[in-house]
Amino acid sequence: MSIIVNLDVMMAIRKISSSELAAKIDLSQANLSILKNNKAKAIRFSTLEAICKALSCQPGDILAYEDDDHILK
Amino acid sequence: MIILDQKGFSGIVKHILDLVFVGGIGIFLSLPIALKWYLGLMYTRTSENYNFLLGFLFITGIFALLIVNEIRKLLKNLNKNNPFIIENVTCLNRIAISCWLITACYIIKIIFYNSFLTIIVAMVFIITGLFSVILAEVFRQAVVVKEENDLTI
Repeated sequence: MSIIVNLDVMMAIRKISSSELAAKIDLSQANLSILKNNKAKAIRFSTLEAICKALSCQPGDILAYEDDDHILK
Repeated sequence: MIILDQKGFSGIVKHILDLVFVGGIGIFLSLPIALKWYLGLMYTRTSENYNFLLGFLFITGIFALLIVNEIRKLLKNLNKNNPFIIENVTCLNRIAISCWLITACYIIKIIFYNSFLTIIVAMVFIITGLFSVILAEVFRQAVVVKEENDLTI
């Protein structure tokens, strides 16, 4: 998928564990894992807002766009 | 009353179908004796050949049991409160195929031993088969929507 979730990078910078973040944004560990492993098909604005608030960052810090064709080359 | 639950309406229907399935197997296995007994009970002599009727009931019986078994599987999945899974789509498609195979048997029967009731049963199975295919497609689309929803965080 061309949208990459860089949540683990931001979590490492902020030094926060998965369970801590999950508890902070009121999300299950399983769902957070889906998001971290790029398995998610979509993200709700409310979830994105909660993550940005918890990590004190911008959506652009956790989401990135990569061209699929570029990756194949 | 709860519709989709082990103790709800679908649970009761599942138990009824369990009985129908076991009874069906019993009737299926005792078909040669049961058919002789039934034909002997009838006052008017039937024009239908015993061997033809036996073969016909054996073939349609297998498909009917398959249908009942698939509906049991379907209800078992529904009772788990997880109706939108791909197994249910497969179940409904199998039901449709079995219905059409029964219809084919009934069409053969119409050719050799026609009766008004045979035509009605053939019609019912054609429509049930068509309805099952439509329902399977509805379930398939629901599975896609559910997967999308489950993967929306």
